[in-house]
Amino acid sequence: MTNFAAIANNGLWKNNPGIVQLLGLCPLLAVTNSTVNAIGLGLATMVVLLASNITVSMIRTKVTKEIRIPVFVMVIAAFVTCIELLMNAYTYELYLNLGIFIPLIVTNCIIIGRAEAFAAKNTVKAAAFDGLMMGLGFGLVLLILGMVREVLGAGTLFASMDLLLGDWAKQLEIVVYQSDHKLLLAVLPPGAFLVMGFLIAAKNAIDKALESRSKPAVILEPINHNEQT
Amino acid sequence: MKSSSTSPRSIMKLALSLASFGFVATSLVVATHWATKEAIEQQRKQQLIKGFSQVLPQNMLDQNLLERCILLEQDPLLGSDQKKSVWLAKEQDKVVAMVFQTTAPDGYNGDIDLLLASDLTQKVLDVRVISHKETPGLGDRIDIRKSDWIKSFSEKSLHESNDSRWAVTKDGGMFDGFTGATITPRAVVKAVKNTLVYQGMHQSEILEQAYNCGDDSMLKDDQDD
Repeated sequence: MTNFAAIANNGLWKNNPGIVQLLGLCPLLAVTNSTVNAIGLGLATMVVLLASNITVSMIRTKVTKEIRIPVFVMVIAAFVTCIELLMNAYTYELYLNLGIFIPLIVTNCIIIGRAEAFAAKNTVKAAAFDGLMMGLGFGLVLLILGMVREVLGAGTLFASMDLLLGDWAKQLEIVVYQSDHKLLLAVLPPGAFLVMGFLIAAKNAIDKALESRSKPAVILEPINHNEQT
Repeated sequence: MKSSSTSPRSIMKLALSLASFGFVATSLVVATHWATKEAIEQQRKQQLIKGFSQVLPQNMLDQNLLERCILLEQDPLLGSDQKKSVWLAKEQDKVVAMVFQTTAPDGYNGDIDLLLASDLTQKVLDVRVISHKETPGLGDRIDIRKSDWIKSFSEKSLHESNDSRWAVTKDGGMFDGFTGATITPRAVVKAVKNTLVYQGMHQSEILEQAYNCGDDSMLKDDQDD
């Protein structure tokens, strides 16, 4: 009955929360100045999304529609607080780096959005898979942004991964290039918007290329014509 | 259907249902809080000890340093409207140095939190930036992970409270500035200077005070930052 391939495609590509729905832009843009921060927030968001989707789906028959929203918000807030405490306890420096953006996961529209739009109407299994895929889709966008910005702005890749993975991960750091004049813009907020813009453009370009391959681009012609005149 | 959802009875039912969900959610948070409480405290202590070991020489570090903590009255010289702590470092049972928590309130992007160790002649042993939001690549050279600049404070002392050498070179002082970021080093120099002035004014007072922020109270203070 449930089409897992469609759910996966939805979360990872077609309806990607990061680059298509453009949800949760605030943390997305704010913490992606390094790969480790991006992965940290991506994982935290994914866990919350997975847990909240499962819980919401489990209680969907027991919650009447009048109190649905407050119950969902409470469920999400509880999970986020738990994640925050756990990160505080076990990945302390990453917790300090991410700062306010961990508690702010509560306000990430993806989570309440998936709870309301999907989990509240589907089986636990489908909801869990949807949470995982949406979380993964969001996390991958974070990861790409973080990697691009770190390489451009700091000239490194996977620096300070030990904050997340423990001391052994110190050796993961790759120095891509060394220069006194790095592209500082990339790690500053405007860089986030620029890289994000290119990412969305690339996604749209790929979609268009795929579309035009499946059927000849007859439809496009009148639009082009109008623009030229 | 519609009328039943607004009757007092069904409202009561909804409220009870909402309350029970609230209870379950809160219990989950409480349980996690209990499970992680010790690890979190440990992490905070670890962080402080890590800071101490960077600003104090090895022979002044001992097990009870964290306990010898005094909560200071809020003072503009310490750069914050929050109470700051000072820890007393001992050598052979005599207090030989103080470690101040202090803040440079006028950084380019807000507060810069510092840890400053100085001996009883108000000579700086070492300073470290604990947290800051300065511009990456420009102002963040105050961070020991980015450059050694912060070490230029060690062995320096204040001769009088308006010692003109305590400024960046651009303002005729003895501390190098950064190209592209004047505000950040200026703020740090000022904060270190102010803390030394504070120490000069309050040192005897501090030495007489009883320790009042070992462990728990200190941790709470830390949380406000």
